Amino acid sequence: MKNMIAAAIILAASALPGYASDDIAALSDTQFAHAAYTADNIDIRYAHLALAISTTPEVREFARTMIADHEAVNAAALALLDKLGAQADDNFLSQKLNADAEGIIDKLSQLRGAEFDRAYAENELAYHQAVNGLVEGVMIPNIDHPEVKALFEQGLEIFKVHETHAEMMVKAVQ
Amino acid sequence: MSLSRRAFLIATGVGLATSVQAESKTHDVTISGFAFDPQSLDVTPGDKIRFTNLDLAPHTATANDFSWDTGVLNKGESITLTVLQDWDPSYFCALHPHMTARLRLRS
Repeated sequence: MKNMIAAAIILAASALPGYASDDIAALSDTQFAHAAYTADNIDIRYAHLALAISTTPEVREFARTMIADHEAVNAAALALLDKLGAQADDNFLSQKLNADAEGIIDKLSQLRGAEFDRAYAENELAYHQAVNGLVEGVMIPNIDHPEVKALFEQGLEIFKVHETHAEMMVKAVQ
Repeated sequence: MSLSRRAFLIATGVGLATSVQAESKTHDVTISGFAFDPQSLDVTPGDKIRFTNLDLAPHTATANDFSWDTGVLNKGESITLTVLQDWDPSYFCALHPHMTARLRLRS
């Protein structure tokens, strides 16, 4: 039963929202900012869950890094929006990300020990792969404001490091 | 010309201080693109190292044996540490462990 839960988590995370790229590409810069902020906060929530449940050093270390890095990106995003006199706009992508995350958190929170570690690690890898693909392939090419684009590019550099770190974590908890 | 005792002591003290300061240096290590620059640095105990984080992500410079640590540096933040003889010369970023670098300690 728990293996099926873990598999469902991975499947859900890797699919990401079932919307066409065109729909996402049509979002405005402030909607992209909202979606990115949402994606950051989701990973922060996953990390806090890992710190609450896991006792594995590699998992806890990864989770602490996720909190530190995603909080830094969010702080920079808020500072930029403030500088530009803009506000992040809620949108269908943010809402879908949040809805999917609730399901994953619900499932992860039922796991313990090695099963939690494996599910968390695999979810982190799938999540970063999916989000990085979205940011690089759809969001960045469609952002208009150069400073917003630059921030997304800096964020993508960080999240690609996370993806590599998640790969190592997946191997460590096998 | 005679030199007052006070003037002599001041002159000698200044000379000694200048001599000590000339032997210790301040080195710069920048953290950028998830890497320490330079990767290898020659230092002498007593030297100072100024670590500056230029990345958006926070970083640390932490000795492998945890004998010294900059603490978390956010973007734009710097800290200067004084090199000690018993420092572990190998260090890494505690938040991003693939980031490593090394000091070469001269005796």
